[in-house]
Amino acid sequence: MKNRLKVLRAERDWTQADLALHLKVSRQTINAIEKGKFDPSLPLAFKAARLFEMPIEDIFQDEAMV
Amino acid sequence: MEKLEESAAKCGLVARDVKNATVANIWTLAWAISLGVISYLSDYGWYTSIWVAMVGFGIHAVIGVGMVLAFKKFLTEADELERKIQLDALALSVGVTIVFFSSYSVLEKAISIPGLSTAYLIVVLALAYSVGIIFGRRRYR
Repeated sequence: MKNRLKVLRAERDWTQADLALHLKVSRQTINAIEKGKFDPSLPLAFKAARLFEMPIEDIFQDEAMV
Repeated sequence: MEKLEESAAKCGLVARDVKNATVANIWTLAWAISLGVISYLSDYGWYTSIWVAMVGFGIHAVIGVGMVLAFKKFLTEADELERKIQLDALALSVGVTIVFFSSYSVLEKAISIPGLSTAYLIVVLALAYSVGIIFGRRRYR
């Protein structure tokens, strides 16, 4: 699954640690998601969508659909 | 608590996970110590009656239940990547232990080798679990 977390984070000038703090997960989790090594759970994806105030599909895209 | 949260965040960890893991580790240490003490007392004939043995067994069992509950709490509340790493490591340790013991028992019937003791079970589980954790951490680094 592809995602735009890194771009959205950079737009806000946030570090991985900052985003991790906002989403209440570890920095390693953010790093693994950004690198596409780990797919977040649905609750975490919704939390990210709420944080960035955008639809979930604008942040996470199914690679088969891209 | 805030200091723990800050230092955990600096290391990229969630303070709640650090706290829960510490509690689980303390329970595990207590369980290991109780196992050692109870085995030692048994070896040196301290169990003069069935009641003394029952008290020893009871203490060890209660600490064991505490350890399991503490680890369950840690897993339930853990950061989702940490939970995946832990569950993968647990799956590996269970799988390796089953394969190791079943293979050894087949070998035991075929050729003359010493029987396996329960201590080996704990060692194999712990080793496979540790390897699983190391590989998991490397994979998601």
